[in-house]
Amino acid sequence: MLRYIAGRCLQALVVLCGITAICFAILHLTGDPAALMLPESAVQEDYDEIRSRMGFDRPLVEQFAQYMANAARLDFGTSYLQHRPAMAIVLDRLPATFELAVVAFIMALIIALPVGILSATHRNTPVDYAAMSTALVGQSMPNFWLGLVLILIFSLGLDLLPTSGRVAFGIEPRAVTGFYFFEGLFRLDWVLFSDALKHILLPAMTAGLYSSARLTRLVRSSMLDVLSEDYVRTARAKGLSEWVVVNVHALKNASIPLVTMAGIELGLLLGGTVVTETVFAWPGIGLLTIQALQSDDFPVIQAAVFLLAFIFVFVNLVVDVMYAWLDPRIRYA
Amino acid sequence: MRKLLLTLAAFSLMAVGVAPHEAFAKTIKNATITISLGSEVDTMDPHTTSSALATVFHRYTFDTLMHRPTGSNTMVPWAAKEMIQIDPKTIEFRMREGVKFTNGEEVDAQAVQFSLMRPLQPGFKTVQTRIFRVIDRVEVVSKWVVRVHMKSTDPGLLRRLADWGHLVPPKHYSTLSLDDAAVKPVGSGPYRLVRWQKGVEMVFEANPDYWKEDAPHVKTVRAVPIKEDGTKVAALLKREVDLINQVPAQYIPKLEAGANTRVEAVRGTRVFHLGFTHGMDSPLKDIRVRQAIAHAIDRDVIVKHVVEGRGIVANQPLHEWTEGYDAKRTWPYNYDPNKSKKLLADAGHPNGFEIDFVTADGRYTKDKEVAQSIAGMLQAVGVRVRFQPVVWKRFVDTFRGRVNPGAKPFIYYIGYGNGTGDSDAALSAVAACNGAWSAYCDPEIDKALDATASTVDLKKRAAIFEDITQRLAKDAAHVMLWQEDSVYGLQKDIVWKVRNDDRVYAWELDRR
Amino acid sequence: MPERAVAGTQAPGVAARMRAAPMADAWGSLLRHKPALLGALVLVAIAMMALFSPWIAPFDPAQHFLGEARRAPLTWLESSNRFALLGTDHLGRDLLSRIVYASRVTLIVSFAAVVISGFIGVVVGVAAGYLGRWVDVICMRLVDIFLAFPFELLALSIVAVTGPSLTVVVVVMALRVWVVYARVVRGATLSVKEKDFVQAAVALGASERRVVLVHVLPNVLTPAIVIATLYVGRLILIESALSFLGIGVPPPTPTWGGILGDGRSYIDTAWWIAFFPGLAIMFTVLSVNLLGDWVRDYLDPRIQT
Repeated sequence: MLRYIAGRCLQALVVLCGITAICFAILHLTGDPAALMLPESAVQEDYDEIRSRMGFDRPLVEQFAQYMANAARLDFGTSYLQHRPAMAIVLDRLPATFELAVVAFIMALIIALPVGILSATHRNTPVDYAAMSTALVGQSMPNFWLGLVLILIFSLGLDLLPTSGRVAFGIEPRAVTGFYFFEGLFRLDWVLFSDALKHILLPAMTAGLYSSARLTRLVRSSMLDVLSEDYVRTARAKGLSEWVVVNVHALKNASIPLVTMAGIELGLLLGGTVVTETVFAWPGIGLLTIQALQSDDFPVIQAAVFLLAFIFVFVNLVVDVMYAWLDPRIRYA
Repeated sequence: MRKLLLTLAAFSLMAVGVAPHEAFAKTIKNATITISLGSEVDTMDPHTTSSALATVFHRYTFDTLMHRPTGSNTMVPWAAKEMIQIDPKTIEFRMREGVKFTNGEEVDAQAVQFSLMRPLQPGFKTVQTRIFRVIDRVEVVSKWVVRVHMKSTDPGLLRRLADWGHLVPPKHYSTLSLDDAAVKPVGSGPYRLVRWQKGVEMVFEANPDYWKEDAPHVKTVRAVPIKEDGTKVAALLKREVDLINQVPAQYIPKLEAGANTRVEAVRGTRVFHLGFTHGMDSPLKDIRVRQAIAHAIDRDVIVKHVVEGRGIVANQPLHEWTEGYDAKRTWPYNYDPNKSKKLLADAGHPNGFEIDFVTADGRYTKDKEVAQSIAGMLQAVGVRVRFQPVVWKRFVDTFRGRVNPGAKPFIYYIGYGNGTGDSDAALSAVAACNGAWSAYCDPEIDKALDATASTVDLKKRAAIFEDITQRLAKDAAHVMLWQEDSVYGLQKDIVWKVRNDDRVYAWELDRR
Repeated sequence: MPERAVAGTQAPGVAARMRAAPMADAWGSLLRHKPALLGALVLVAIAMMALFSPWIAPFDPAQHFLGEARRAPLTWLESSNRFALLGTDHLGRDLLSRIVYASRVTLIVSFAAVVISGFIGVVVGVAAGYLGRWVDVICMRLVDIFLAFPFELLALSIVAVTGPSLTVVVVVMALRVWVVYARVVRGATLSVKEKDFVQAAVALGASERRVVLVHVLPNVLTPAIVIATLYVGRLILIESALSFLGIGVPPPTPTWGGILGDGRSYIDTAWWIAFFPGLAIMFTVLSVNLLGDWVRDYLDPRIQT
């Protein structure tokens, strides 16, 4: 087991190095980084000064080594736009993306588990067909289109929910951490919580569309696999109620692949909120990256890519380790 | 008798003690007003940037020597108590005695000297040099009296000092790092910046020691950047913000119908034009091509349909209340696509040609839509433009980068907002050989602009400016397009006299 | 990512039927499978729309009519003499015509991306599976790196370097999907490698090239095709997302995602600009998925994604 974990950690490290290398390539492929950093009124001396200060005149290999060393310290330079450390700017926006991904994930689970189980237990009935058709349609529509339609109906049409943002503009968010939704819930601050909830509802539905659909289908197929096993028949024969059989015994055994797939979905969500953030002007890392892209703010782009990749790799690592732990064959190896 | 006197004295003391507090309390009764002016200012260092947004926010924390009151076209002394024109090349300012910066330093003659000369320091990174370069030296006559000596006459300097002559405390700013200066402004303005969460909000609080008696009215002003039109309108309707600017025409009916909202519109100062990279090797070098482009554009349709009447067609780069504005001027290139095609064929492009077309996206009201409409009109006559709407920073980089080797020629759409009212500055910016927003170069025009600096006769100056704009039109240096209305959305209970120069001065706001 | 592909061997009986009369058998199966049939019909219609756009689109998709901007669906436009079935966009262009022409980009890009990613993925997968040892390790690490890169950010990073264009979109999309092929094909190659007939061929002295081309490749093509049909839908969605964000195929070429992106600014005054292209995307992807499910069921039901 320990060997397995060590091996996976090493793998993760290799992957992370690969990503950092790609980030480095991006900076240097885009033309002269020194030229990009200078303001409009710069002259030749400024250009030379930046080149030597930032080390752009040293051989590429040396620059790469320095870059990797900096990346290890999470130092991606200073934003061209905001004159603050790039990673600090990205980390500021992390809570927003994190909240969005996690709430989307929770909503996806809330839909996927009951519907998937129901589909599995009522296989080939209208309920099953309806659920699976809906899941298929869900996987076939662009989630940003769904977001816009939701805005059309619930914000513009019914005026029930806001069209964008995390909190209303007029109030100062009374949160100490950056997590309005969770802090509001935790501290029982209903004003903050209700405002955060109203703002996160539609974005979470949008971001979680594909995950909901995939997880629903997955729950159904996992449950179907498990429900046909012998021990389920045994449990039924023992006289246990159907509810207990399904939701306790079957679900428990189906959960191993489910947990790992769910973990992967969470990882995907964390890295894939760009489109949702654009639709709802959600101030997260995705939107930051788009804005940095439009303004050629490369330190921020690199820092954002690195951070999200890091999180993704980390989540995958955790998922793999969890899978290994849950699967007795590996755990006791 | 003594008792009566004592009682009277006691009452009067109480009255003295109570009354001003009450008056103070009355003027600063309102808690907060929230405004949104589109994007966020990039720096609060008043001597480095030239953006129009900066001139708005810098006035909150810093005072300038002069000021142009709303609705008037004459300058009045502001941080200075009095302004005396000693001779055409010397201006004397008498400062208000006892006024202090928020850090305790005094707003005296030395502060003025330091502040005016700061942008001209060698090695100081700024784009404001042109604004101040006519200043030869600033003389401290006495503690509260200072004289500005100019290298040549420049009637525009006073106007520029209203927008750019910000006063900063000398001791503090001589040792302040540039990074700190950008985010921690210390001035003598009506407000102090107490909080700045980048991208989220800027919070200003009233400066209790401000020299002006009845200002500011509102204790706290929050500025939130909201770029999207739909979002800012929604925020206004929901009472989340109290004032928004640059409202596109399609939202005006909604705001006028709103129970709590109203719309204020006034003819603005921003004039939009199409520019060409004249110095580069391209079809644009031929005047017939430029004329063809001018003839291809239907400016009336743009004003009528794209901006839905919230503006007028512009026939010259200057607007009504600047020197040299010719009310009877006509634009020599009418909308005639057939003539366009013929001119293009004459110039050797019977099948048109390709060229880049760059515009800012989200900087001005409906910039992308107007530019896209123009792109369509150009494509209709064969000028196959590669339409590139980019964010402001990249637009600036592209424009400035045109001088770099390997840069490609392009057409660009831009609006110059001459809120200062200085014709020299405006025409220099868009037409001088080294103008900040000029890709054009005609030495004769540069000579004429220099001449206006030393021409004291107003009529003669106006004539020179008129001449310059005529010359520009004849050479099809730019294609003049339209002048926008400044449209604001406000809560009904906000008291504010709308200005025509896109400036929203927070100390003039009040809530009923 | 544990995509459980037990590929490389086809479902029993399928192989036999296919060898006997491949086309007829497939056709018969399709006809029996109603949803897939519907999907196929819709796709044919869309392909027709793409092919014959100039005849199907009622008006010029590029011509501006600024005086008729943002008109609602089902209105008659006086000055330009047009009936806007789906309304007009912010420049007065007929929305229906734009949507019709935009189908071209969608189909071209998706098809190209599938083919290219398939090619890359098959090559890498076969190399990894057949050559084994360090080639395998390198290839799989490469796959891991690509999988770890959050896709949208990968796309953004590449566009940051190159600027948006049709080629870039195809390349980016290919980069997203090739890894799936690689993994599945590698698995298939590994299992085929062990098969008796392959061992026999090697023993008889067949060159490596011959073994790969004649024995390995045909057997990995089946799972590759299944992957392809299952992923086309996702590729269409990815392309529309890239265009929506403004980093896809650049204007003036109309794309469904691009029209949707334009429509976003007008969601409150002209909702149809954003609504109808999304509907088009949904119907297309749904049809592709229905058809893809049938292909998967027919060829190899054990592949899951």
